[in-house]
Amino acid sequence: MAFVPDSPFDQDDFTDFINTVNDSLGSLEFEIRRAQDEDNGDKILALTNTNEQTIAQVATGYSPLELEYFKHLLDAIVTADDELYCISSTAAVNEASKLKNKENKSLQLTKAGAEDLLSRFVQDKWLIKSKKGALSLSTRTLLELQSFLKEAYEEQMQECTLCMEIITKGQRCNVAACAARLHQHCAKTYFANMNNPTCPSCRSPWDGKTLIGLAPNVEAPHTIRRR
Amino acid sequence: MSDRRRRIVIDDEDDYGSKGSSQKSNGKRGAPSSSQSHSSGSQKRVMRDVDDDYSDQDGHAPKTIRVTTVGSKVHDILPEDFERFVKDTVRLAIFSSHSEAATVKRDDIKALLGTHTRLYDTVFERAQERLRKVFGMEMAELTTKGRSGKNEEKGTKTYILRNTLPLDLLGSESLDWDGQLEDQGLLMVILSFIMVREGVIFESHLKEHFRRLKLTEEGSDIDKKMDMFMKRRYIEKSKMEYLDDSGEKIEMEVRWGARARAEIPEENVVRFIEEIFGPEAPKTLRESIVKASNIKIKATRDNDVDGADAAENGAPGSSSNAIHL
Repeated sequence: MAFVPDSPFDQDDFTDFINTVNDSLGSLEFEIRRAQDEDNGDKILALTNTNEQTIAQVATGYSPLELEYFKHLLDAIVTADDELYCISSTAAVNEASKLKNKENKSLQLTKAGAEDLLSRFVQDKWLIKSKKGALSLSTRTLLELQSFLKEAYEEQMQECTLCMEIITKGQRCNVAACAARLHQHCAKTYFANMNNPTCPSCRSPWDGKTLIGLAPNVEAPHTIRRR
Repeated sequence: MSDRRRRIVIDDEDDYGSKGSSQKSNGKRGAPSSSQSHSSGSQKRVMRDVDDDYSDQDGHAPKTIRVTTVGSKVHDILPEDFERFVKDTVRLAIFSSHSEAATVKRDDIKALLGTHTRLYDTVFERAQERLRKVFGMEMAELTTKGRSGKNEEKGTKTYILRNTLPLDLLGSESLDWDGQLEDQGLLMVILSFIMVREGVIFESHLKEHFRRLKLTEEGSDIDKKMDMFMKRRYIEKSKMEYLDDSGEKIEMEVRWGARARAEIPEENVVRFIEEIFGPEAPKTLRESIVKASNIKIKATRDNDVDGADAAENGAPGSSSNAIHL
């Protein structure tokens, strides 16, 4: 369900309002977080569970095995080579056979079972599936697992140079050594009045064509390569 | 309800108020801000923010609160643990509402309490207060009504979350129901047909109504929708065998399901029908609906449109229901 303001409203008042609501929610380990969709820049509010130590069965409706599979996929997506932040559905299904439990025994997740589960992850908006079958992280996952991702994948997770939020899709600086990354919507804002865009960090020319995340209408690699 | 039990609730009101500030300034956490003048017996009651590292609090031994449950049995429990139980119950209720069944079972809540299952009633009650105050919702028990519909309603020890906010607020156009409105409309139509026949309708008759509403045309998914409503316990079907002039017959009867009974006040259905009729409604419409349905709500609509809801869900003005921002 989305909140759709039908008339212009005062941003500051709105922020105050959200903060007030969050004061109440905080005592129950919930929080309303704000973000912008990495694909289309839509502004989003989400009620999130801040108790991340238990990405619990009860919180998500998934069984421990299913959660294990999700974590596995999360890992493959986040660590994907060349800052792609995605894997192909084929690769995701193949990963299912590699699931091991604590005693290092293979877990029973069939190919068909994995396919079903994948569509549930997509349906429940934990993952996004592109038309070409590439799986990437949804806004929901980025919001709800924010702290987890930043802690567990300190090296791999990057911040947008403008909004300072996690970025897995957008533009990056042509200079390989430069850390500048911008969401598409942030780049639009930042370069709006520049005739010759330059990198906000290293000042080299910015063509906006070097990407972080997979380019649209491109298939993800069929095998998983980690950085 | 014992006096002592009620007082715990009052104590915590203070605690909410100080929560925002005490959370930010970690150093002062644990100051017995709400304990002054409230002592129960020899125990001083201290409500603090829950935190795992509380026990090294100024080097003092943890203080317990005393909870009196039904039958005047006394349980000493750490305030942190008690708060944790309440919090977990609220969280369980919220998470469960997103599952397909949308229900939470009493046993699941009890499982959270570990060895303290005797505190169930107190924890449940406190969780309800938090749900009403923070979310504008409460847990309502689903009931069985028995096949004939005449049996007494029995509790099922299963709860769903239901709204406690005034209806007018929900109708606000600020909410985008994400395409769910179509299903809700259809469900209200079905519930209306059932209600005005005193709570039960033959499925064949219902289908006849669908046909007239052009809901059964080619490519219609009305059967699927009916199945979904059944799965979600908004409607129930049962087999009915009866004799008429042409011999023995079998019909399926459709009734309101447990979830509809818990979630949807009959008043809302009356209002829905009135809305469908619009300004051309006959003046006696409300009276006719109430009479046909054989339900006990006011046959005349007065100015206080929220009156009926209030009776159902707790008065809007009462502290448990109003949102204090």
